[in-house]
Amino acid sequence: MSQIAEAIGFNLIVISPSVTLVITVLILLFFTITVETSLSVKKWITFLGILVTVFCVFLKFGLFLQNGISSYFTQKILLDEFSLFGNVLIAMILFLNFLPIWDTSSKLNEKTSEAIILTLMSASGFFLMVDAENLIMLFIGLEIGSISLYALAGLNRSDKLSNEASLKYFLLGSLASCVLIYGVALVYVSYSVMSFYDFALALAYTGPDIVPLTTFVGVLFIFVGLLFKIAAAPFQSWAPDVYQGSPTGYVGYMASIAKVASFIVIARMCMVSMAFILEDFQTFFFVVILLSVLIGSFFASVQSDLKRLIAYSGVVQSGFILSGITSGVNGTSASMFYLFAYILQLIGIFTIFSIISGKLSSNFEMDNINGLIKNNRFLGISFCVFMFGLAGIPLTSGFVSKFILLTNLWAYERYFLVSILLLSTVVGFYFYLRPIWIATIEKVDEPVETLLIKKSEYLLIGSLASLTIIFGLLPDTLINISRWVVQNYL
Amino acid sequence: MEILILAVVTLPLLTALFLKFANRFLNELLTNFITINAALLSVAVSSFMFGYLYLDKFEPIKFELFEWYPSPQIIFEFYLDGLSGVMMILISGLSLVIQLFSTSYMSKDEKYTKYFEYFNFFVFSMLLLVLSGNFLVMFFGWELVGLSSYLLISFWYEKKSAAKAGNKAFILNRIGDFGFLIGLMMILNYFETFNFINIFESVLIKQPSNLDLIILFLLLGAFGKSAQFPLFSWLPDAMEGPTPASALIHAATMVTAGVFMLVRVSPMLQFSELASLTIIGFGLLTALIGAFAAINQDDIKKVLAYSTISQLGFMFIAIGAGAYVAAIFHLVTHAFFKALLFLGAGAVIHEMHHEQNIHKMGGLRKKMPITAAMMGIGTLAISGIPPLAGFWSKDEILASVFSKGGIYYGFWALSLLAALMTAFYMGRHWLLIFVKEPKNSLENIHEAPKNMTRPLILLGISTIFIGFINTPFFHGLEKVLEETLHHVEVTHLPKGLTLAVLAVLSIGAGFTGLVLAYLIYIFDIISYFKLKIPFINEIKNLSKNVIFINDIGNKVFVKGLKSVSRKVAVNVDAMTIDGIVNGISKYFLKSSKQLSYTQTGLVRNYVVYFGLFTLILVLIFLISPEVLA
Repeated sequence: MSQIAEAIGFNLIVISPSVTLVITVLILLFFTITVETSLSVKKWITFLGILVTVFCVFLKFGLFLQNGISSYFTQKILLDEFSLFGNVLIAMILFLNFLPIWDTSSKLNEKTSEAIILTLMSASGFFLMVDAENLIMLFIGLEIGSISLYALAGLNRSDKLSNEASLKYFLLGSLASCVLIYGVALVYVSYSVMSFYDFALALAYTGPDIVPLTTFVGVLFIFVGLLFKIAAAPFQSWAPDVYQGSPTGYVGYMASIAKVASFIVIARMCMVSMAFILEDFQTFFFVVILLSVLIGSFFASVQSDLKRLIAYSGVVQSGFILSGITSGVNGTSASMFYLFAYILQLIGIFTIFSIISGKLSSNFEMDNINGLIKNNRFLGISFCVFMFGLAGIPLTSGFVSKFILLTNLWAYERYFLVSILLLSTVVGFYFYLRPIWIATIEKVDEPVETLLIKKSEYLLIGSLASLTIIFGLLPDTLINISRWVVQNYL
Repeated sequence: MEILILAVVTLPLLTALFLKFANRFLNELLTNFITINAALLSVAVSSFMFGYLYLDKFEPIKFELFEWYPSPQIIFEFYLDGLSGVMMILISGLSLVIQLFSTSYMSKDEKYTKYFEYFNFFVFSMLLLVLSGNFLVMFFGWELVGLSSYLLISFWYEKKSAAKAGNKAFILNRIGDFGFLIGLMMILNYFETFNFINIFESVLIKQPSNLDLIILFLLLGAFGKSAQFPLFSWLPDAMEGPTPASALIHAATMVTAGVFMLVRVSPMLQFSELASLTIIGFGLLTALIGAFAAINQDDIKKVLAYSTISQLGFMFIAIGAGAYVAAIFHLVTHAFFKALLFLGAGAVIHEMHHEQNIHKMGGLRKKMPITAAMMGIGTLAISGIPPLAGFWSKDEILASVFSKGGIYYGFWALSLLAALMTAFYMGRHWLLIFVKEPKNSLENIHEAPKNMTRPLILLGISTIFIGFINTPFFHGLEKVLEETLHHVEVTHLPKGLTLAVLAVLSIGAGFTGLVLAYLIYIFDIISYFKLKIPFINEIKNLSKNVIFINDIGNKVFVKGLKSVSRKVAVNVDAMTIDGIVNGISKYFLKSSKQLSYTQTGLVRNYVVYFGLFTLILVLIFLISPEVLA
């Protein structure tokens, strides 16, 4: 038995985060269906489950130190720097979002455990996605994760916008998945391989000149599927609607986790599988980056809904991250830094939104934050910090990430791209400054009531805001981490 | 010793933070106590540092705070040499004087403490900028200066124009920063370091092939911050801010950041002929346009704003001609007399109950004798009348330009013209406010309170004497900057008779300008002799509305971007997204029939987009695999 296990590379540690989450889900289900339990018990179960998941990610580090880059379950699951980085990010997102997600879910009355179960399931799917070495595994992970997210978007059944968002997300997401699986099929047709590494080997074996067209189109379709998930233009149309419609407490989680997983996969594809033919995709990526930056900036500057604004700003940020990933090793490391810093800001912003607007509400008009600095000084300042971070003002992590990324791009002699991206940051100041202005300076007509927030929320937002500042002042730890992620490809 | 640099930089920051967090416990008196004492301490520490530097023969002091970026190594470091020492003294000294003035000017304002909080924050960012040891720290300071000046300009944001002016300043500065950042990237790529000393040492040995381009990009940043053509339209608008803040930001410190930066990079700049010519060309253009625009302004502060633009042009001319010492010299003297003029204007505005039109003033010299005398000193100084400050520095610039010879003779003649215009518009400014027969009764007007006149007198005395720090007979400033400009080829003054003739000529220009102003505006020579000057109205209009020219930058960058993005986004958004969202939410639950109908419409739209774009991307991929890359 153990020989068989060894032959197929059976190793529980490598999938332990997903397994832990699934077990937590099962326990929760058990308590929901059979014994009547109070919410606080469930809350502790969930929190413990998440903590154990975080611990499992540490276990994977131990495994990595022991085995190095290795694959398990007959080349289904991969353990490398990218997957570890992805694991850390996803565990972090889960951990940081526990508070807004729980608070939102507890407002849903009888559907509380349902929502928590969906969240945990989606995280387990995305864990599998970043771990996947096999394209089919990738698809399965993506679907497990996404389907839960579709449902999460529509949980607030009494809200029309929420229903609409869910339906929209589901229909378009499944279309993207179709395209992705079609691409996988095309790749398989050309080389009869499914593994990222085997694909790279096959390409190296045949040489870049006689790669069949089906491969190119297949890879391109896979990319389209993933670009949809990161809301890069021209596949961005769902993002604003879904962000706007979904219950505010969930959006930070939904937005960050799908992006992280997809970016990790794109980075691995660019660095490993397609290193030989990446050159041929430069035009394709160039168009996508250009469109993302332009469309994102233009549309963001006319939004009156803050959630839509952040969605479009996310389109721009996706363009930035993508430009690093597709340029080479140093660019990828810069993008990993960017991703990390961006996720922190995103979660922080949406946590603040969910506090202000109430967890379940969908629309979030600009007026809602009018006089925020007077309602709650702490929230106002943190809000400004996050917005400054997104805009890339010096002394925040946003500036460092943009700076490193653009410097690296410049070193790759992509001057035109750098100018476009820099110009977009100039435009960015419009739409990032406006909410800041409204929140801090603009006059408030009616007397304001003070916003009361919990201690745990203080802790969460405070630590996120201070991280945004700390990574702006002392970025070298995070830079070293992001370099470690790509160390093998230097 | 080194740690004191940190003290100089952080002291204003700590003051600002304290004012912020103790806001609600502070009344005006307490605020004054804290901020003035902090400023005094800051002056003391920086004077001590400067004295130490002097005793040490201006040997640079370095201070490394922490490592910011591992490899290529970038350290958060400070650097104090003669150049940053001069700027440090200037900033902390003027900030003290101007804060003294502000205590009276801003009193009874609702946001009294907030004003000083922003003010201290600005001083902090400016000190960070000048004491930076590498380009990155400098860029941090650069950005923070932009941010804090935005806060000060739009301080009275209830006025829509103030809010707008703040936005405009911020955005136009961003255009400059965009160039600055690109320049920084190119520097990092070539030199693999940001440290000033390392870069300047390696540039002496071997110049990079794209040096011209690097300097030109840095120059774009300097143009934005120092309000040079075509990025200067924000400065006149920025006069919406409180007048003392204008005195600090728009006379003494922020707008000179570009000049400071160019002198700092002078070891690189000296190798780029193209950049020098660009600097002198744009400097001249700016000096002339600024002076021309100042001639026919009605607003007491706008005259000074355009005058600042013009004087900054003079500094750029000096840099372009390689006379770096003269540029810094003019920066220092200009800081004093322009701060004096701005504060004087502030006093006038304060006593005139916020009336800013100079045609509604006149005859104020009897009511406000001290202010009139002090502003008179400032006017004479800026016109270049010896022995006041402006004469020495302006004459040094003109003489240096002349001594370069060749095409520079032409540049010299144009600069002289700008100097004449300077004397003319400043003469008009002073005469219209203080001498001309008043149209309205001035019964309620009296001299400004002591807290305002004292800083004025202080600045007036300094303006008389500050010019002596660097005369042809005593090269004080040159010695201070010697270590900084050690390897830089500096244009020297011509010797003997030439210098004397040039000095006489520039004094002559100053006098001519003043006399012309007197003749035209007081003696009214035009109607007396029934002179008919051709196109006089056209010229007047052009001067008044020179904003049309200087709005090019604004039109192209600020408005253009805004309207294009608005048009595109509104149309597309309205057609596809908003329309659908509204439609959906309206009809969503009404009936299953309608629901299915709208839903089909929605999904059809998005799916069509999705498919179409995928197809287009495939096509792009197939047609041109390696075209753009």
